Amino acid sequence: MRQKNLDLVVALIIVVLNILVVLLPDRAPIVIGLVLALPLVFVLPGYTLTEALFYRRLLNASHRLVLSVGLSLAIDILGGFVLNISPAGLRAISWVVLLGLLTTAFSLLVAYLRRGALWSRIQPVEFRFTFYPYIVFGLAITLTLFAILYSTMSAEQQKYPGFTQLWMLPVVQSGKGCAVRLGIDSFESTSATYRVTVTMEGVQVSAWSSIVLAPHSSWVQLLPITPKSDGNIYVEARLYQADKPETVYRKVNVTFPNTEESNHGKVQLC
Amino acid sequence: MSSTQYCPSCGTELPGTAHFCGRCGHPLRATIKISKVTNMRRSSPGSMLPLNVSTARTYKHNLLHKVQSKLPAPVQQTITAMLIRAKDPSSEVSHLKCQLDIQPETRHSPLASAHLAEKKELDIQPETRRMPLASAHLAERNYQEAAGSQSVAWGWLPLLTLTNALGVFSVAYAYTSAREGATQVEIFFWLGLLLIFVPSVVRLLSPSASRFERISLLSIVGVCFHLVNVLFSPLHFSYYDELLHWRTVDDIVRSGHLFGENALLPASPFYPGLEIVTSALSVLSGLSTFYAGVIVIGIARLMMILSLFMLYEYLANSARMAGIATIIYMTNPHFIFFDAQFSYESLALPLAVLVMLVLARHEALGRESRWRTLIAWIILGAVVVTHHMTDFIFDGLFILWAVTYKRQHKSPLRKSSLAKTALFGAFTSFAWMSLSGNPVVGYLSSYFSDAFNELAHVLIGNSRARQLFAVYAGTPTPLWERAMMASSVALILLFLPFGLLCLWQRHRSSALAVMFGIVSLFYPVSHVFRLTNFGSEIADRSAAFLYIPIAWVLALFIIQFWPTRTLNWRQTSFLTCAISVVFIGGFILGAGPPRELLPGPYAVEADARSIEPEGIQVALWARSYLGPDNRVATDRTNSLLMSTYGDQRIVTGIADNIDVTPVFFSSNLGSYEASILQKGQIRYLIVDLRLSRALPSVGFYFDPSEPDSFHHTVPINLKALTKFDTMSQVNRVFDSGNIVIYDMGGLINAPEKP
Repeated sequence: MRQKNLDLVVALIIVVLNILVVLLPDRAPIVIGLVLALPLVFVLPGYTLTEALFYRRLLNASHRLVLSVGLSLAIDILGGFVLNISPAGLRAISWVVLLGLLTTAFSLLVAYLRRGALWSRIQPVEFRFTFYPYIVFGLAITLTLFAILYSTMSAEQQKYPGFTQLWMLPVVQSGKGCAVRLGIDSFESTSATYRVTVTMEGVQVSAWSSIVLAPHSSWVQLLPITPKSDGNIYVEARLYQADKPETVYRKVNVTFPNTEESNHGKVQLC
Repeated sequence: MSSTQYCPSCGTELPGTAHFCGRCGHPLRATIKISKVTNMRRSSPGSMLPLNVSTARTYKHNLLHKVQSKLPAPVQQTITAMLIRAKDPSSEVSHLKCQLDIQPETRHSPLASAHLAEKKELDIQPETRRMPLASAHLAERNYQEAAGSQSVAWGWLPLLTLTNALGVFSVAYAYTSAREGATQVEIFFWLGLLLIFVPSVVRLLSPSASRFERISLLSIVGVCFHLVNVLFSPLHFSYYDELLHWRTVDDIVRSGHLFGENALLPASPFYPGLEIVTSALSVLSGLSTFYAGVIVIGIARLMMILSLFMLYEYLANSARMAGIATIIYMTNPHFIFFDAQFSYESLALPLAVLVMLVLARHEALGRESRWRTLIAWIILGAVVVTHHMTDFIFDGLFILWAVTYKRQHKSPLRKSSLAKTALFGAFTSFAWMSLSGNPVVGYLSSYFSDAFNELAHVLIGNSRARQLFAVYAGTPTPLWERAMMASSVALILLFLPFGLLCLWQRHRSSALAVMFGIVSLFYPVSHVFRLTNFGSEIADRSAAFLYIPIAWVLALFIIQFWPTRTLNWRQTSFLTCAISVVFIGGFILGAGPPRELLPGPYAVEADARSIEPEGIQVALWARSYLGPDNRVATDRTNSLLMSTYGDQRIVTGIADNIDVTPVFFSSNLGSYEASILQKGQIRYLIVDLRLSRALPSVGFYFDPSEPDSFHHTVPINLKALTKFDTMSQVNRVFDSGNIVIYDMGGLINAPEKP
């Protein structure tokens, strides 16, 4: 009896392990999560349902496989709509509960339906073990894995032209003055040295002469703005490369409205 | 063993000594004398045709005979030979006999089982053989016997797995070399594809492969083609449609709920089947959306191959023919790339084929029929909420199938599970379409109306037809690639009528086969859309569906015209070459020339080639510093990046009914352009200055409806793109050299000009 329902026992063990992994306070390693999630998402609900519906009939392996996967996918999709209605939504815990419950329910049904059946009616697959095919298969799998690694590494190391981002955003806090947040993000292939100048209404207010940035590093400054008139304030920042000091490499600008209309008339912002 | 012969015209059984058919008067010079015991076994009960000798048929045959007799003798002989080939019921039997006689240990092979089943069929009373239901029962029994063997013979599988792996490696080498800037590496790409495809075709044509070997081989080919697609971009999604669906998955994972907003593809949140499964795997395993998506699509492709194989096998009761048909299906233009993308069709299509497989077997089943109907309904329900076009097309196929079935069966339609399923599919599709907020009707109708309007204009001569083989940017298509594309279509068009002839002669009692025959006739029609710019995609997109029947009809043609008893290496080579030409031509038709497909430096509006670090970093900056869900307008590529990496709300014609292209194309920002920005409440414009350096590879920069789309002769003007620099109300807040972000807040808050 135990052997007859071995498939169902394995299914239930996978369900329990999935629940445990999801309930763990720390996330389990991806490999463990993947090994457990794959059968739960793609096989178990469909397999147990197929077994329940066709318990009288011996389906061939390919038919059972395709029905198991197809039904599992359909159950996942339709189950997603059920979870969407629930307050928990489509989260890990709700998924594991839904798929676990369905798998358990179908497994119990199959065990009940199988109670009088004989185990011997299922024919085991006859593999003829010879050495040669497995060596060739092993070679093929190794070559495929190597091809995947080769392509992945080349994609990681693919060379693109380097670039530098210059940005400036206004920071306006009513009654607390104005400022600009100025930033540089370097995505050049090597370390680079920059010079930055900031002008307000055409007058230079700040300058940084030697900013050295390694690849994938940033530089951010908060620069207060003190207006000299009631009108709009025009602030411009320019970025120069150390080796081309006369050529503007990047340029950004913002215009501050210094006043704002309110119930009390015009209010000065900066 | 008594010698007998059959009239090639009316099929009447005649004594071996007869010189004319006693029924239709057809001369018997060209008829083949065949063994009654060995050769007249029918390979498939589904293919059984009663030797109907009614008066109507006699009249028709007499007429045909009269017409034929007026033709020159060589033509008469050719027609007669073709008819004999087309209706030859023993195209795969002789080999079986050899197997049974020579190799007793292989009697447990599926083909041998099928042969034994055929023997049983011969014992059945003739009147039973004329009943479609009885033949369906037999088909089910034979299929079970043929497919049920549990023995495993590796055959050539290990060696072919190795050649497939070599093919994958060759493709990986081509990709890597292209990334490193090497040119002229397409040869390795082609070599890889052919290493995967050609040896597999040779083996599948061979009569000696076991069912297990055929299924395994097809699965391996499917996995390898999936890898060809994945290895192009093994770190992140890069195809246009993939990024569209990634946004929907991310919304589901982030919010835990469905039906978010996707401005670039508003239909996607209403058809979230793929995204549901991907998000489930992602949250349960901890995998990123990209890797979860790769696994989901890989499993869907395996399911597609298995379902197709079993569907074809059930229909023909031949694992060999099923294998050939499945590999022919893989020659469809979108098999390797488009239908392997992370896109809703890639999941819906395998599920829909599985529904077809489940329904194909329902006719022969008694009590279990209701369970199969239940399974079909569950999976069909999933198809309905996964992809609209797949759903609509398969609803149509099921209805056509039910009508064909009704014409062949006397039982009332309401008792047919097939009809019930077709109705269920149509009803659920309609109900889902009518769901509040579902934009699919507008989405599809606008596309199809544009395509049909353009086609109508082309046909009546109001506008010029799209130039075939034209490229919108880059070098023209080489002559050999043009020849391959034309040959691919021509070969299918040439062989299709012969396949249909075989279908009519052998399988017209099967409703599914007849439905396949009818649907395959749409193939030539679909190519008319290649004359249009808007509709040219229809020809390729429809191939994924049309190739399901076409592959079977072509495989039937191969089986009938090159029977296993006469198959030699020359014929196998010819067939392999023909299928390979269809494959190469189909691939170029669907995916474009490999030099455009290989990874490489940035190209303007070239989908995958336009996804590069600068654009991605701009989008990531926008999410970090501007916050999510700002209303932005930009070009096609940056729309994708801003929507996914940047989590921004893209203002589009499809979601907002606002055409933003004048804002970018006009030489100055006038009141009309400002009113567009105000109407769309567009806060940020992302301007990619590289657009001014080249023509767009896809034919347009922003939207297919933009001025001169598909007909750009010069790139967009740089002054038009930089006109915002001089505007006092516009802030230039970001500059990365090629990409600039403008804050239009000052402008959209300003009062609208009259």
